[in-house]
Amino acid sequence: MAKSVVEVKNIWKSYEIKRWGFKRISFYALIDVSLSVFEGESVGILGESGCGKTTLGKIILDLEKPDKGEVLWFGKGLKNLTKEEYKIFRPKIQAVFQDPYSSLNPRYKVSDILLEPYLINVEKDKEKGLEKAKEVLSLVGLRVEVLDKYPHALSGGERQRVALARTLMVSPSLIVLDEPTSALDTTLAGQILELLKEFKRSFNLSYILISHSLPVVLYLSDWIIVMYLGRVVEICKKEVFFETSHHPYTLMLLNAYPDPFSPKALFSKKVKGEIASPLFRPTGCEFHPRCEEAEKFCKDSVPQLRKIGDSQYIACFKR
Amino acid sequence: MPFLEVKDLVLGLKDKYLPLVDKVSFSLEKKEILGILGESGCGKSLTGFALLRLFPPGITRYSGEVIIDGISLYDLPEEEVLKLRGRKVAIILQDPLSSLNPVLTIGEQIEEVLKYHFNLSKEERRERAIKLLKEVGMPDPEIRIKSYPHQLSGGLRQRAMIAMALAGEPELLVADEPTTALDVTLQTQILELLYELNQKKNLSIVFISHDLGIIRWIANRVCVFYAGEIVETAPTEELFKNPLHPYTQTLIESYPKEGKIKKVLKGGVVNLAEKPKGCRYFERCEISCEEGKEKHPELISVKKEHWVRCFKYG
Repeated sequence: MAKSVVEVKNIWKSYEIKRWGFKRISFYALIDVSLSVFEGESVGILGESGCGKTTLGKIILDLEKPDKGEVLWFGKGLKNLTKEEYKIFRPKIQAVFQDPYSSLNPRYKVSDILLEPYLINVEKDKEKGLEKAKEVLSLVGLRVEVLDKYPHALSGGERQRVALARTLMVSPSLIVLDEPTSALDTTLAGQILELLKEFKRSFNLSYILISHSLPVVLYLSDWIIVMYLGRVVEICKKEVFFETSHHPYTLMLLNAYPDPFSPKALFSKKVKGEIASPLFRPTGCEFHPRCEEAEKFCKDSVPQLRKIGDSQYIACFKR
Repeated sequence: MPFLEVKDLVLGLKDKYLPLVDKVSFSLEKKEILGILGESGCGKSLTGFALLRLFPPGITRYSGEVIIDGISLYDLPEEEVLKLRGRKVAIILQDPLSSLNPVLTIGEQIEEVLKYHFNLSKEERRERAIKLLKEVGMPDPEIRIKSYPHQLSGGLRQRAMIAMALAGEPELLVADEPTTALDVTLQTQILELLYELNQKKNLSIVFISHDLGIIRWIANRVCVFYAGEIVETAPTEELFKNPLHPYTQTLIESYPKEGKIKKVLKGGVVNLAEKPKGCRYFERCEISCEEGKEKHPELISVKKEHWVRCFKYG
C-alpha cells in the first residue's frame, strides 16, 4: 500500500478581522476539512476565491496553524514532531505560488534563489549546489545562462520555471501548487502543466493543486476536491468525473467553464449569485441560495459528505 | 460600409522605429462581436487602445487609419476625440480595481461621464446612474451607488465599470480581457451580461482575450494575432472547426481537453527587436517551410471570409 505523504484530519480554521473600528469578528475559513495525499498521487482542489482553498494549502505547508484538527506529514502529527524530524520533513513539502513576480526575491540572482534552499537543507557545499542547480534548470527547460540573471530579466513563464526549479533543488515529496498557471498565457500554461506531469511520473511526486480552473485540475489530478465556503462539498476520482452525477455546485462550475471544444454558449443563466461572505454564512447547506435544486429542508441542516459508489463523496441531500 | 474599419494600422515605440503592431486591418459590422485572440505581447491590447486613440506611455502610431462610423479617428483634432470617447466608443479593462478611482463613489464616477456628454440636471443624472447600474445587474443599485470601489467584490466592480462605459451610450465597446481577474462563475455572468447588451442594445464589441474558450463562446468572428500581426481571421465556428494556420492549430490542440493535452506549443514568441525577416512563426512552426525562412508571408484569402498568413496555402 502506498504511504501517505500528507494527511489532514478534521481541520477548522478561523480568522479574526476588525470591523466597524474596534469590534472584532471571527469567521471560519475552513470547517471540518479532511483529506489525505498518497505517494505519487495528486489532489486538485477546486473552488471560487474565498472558499478556503489557499488557507488549506497554507495549513498543509505549516505556514498557518489550524484551530482544531491535525496535520500529519508522513504519518506523523505535526504537533508531535521533534525538532530533528521537522528539519528532515520540512524541505520535503514545497510550494509554488500563483504570482511568479512576487514569489522570487528581486535582489537575488537565479543562482542565489536556487542555492539558498540547497545550502540550508541539503548540504553546505556551493560547488555541488551549483551542479544540482544546472541539472534542475535543464529539467525545467531553462538554459544555464539564466543563473546570472535577476528575476526581472525573465518572462512570466521563465519565472514560474525558476520557482519550480527551486522546489526541485531539495528533492521534495510533495509540492503545493497554488494557482501555478493562472498568471500565464494558455500556451505557457500548457508548457508548465506538461512539465509538472512529467515530474510527477519521473520523481514519483505528489501534488496538491489549488486552482479555480477546471481543465487544469482535470489535467493534473487523480482526485478532485470541490470546496465551497470552507467546506468540502465533493470528492471525486478523476476517472469517473465525466461519468457520474455531481454536487449542484460542481455542476455550476462545469457549466461556467467556457469550453473551446463546444460551440457557442446559449447562456442559459446557470450561474446564480456570488459566493456568500463567510461572515454571514447562510443557514443549513451554505450553497442553497444559489442552488437550483434547493428545497425547504436544505435551509435547516448541513449535509454531510456521504460515500457514493467507490470513488465519490458528495455532501448534498438530493444526491 | 462597416461600422468600424481599421486600415494598415502600425503602432510602435516612440523613441526608435520598432513596429509592435504591424499593418493590422480588420472591420466590424454593427452588432457584431469580434474576438481578438493572442498571447501576451502580441499587440492585441495596443490595438484595442488605438481604437480610442489612446496609447500607453512610450507608444505611438506610425501610420494607418481607424474609421468609426464614417469618422476617421486620427484626422480629428484632440477636442473632438474627447467627445467621441465614451460616446461612440468606450473601453473596459482587465483589472477594475486599478481602473476605477478609489476616492470617488461609483455613482460619482458614472455621473461624471453623464455630465460630460449630456445636458442633464443633478437629479436626472443620479436617476440615470441608478438605471445604468440596474441594467448591468447590480443588486440594490440605490444603495450601491454610494459605495466606493473597495467596498465592492470583484464581480460587482467589473459591473460598475461596465455601467460607466455604457453611460455615454457608446455604439462600440472595446473589452480588454474583462474577465481575466475573475473567477469562472463570475466570468460567465459578465460574459452573459455583455452578450445581452450586444443583443438588446445593438452594441458592437471588440473582445480581446487569450482564452480560446471565452472567444468561442462570445465572438462571431475571430482575428488571431501573433507577434503583432494578424495570422488568421475567420468566423468563429469556421476557425475552431477548420483552423488553417499552424499557430492556430497548435493553440487549439494545446488546450486541455477532458484531462488531456494533445500538443504543447514549444518556445517563446520571436523577438521583434531583432527584426525578423521571414515568417514570424518560423522558429516554432512544425512545417518550417523553405520560403518562411527568408520571405514574409502575406495574408491571403483561402475561402470566403477565411484569411490566413502562411505559405502552405499559396
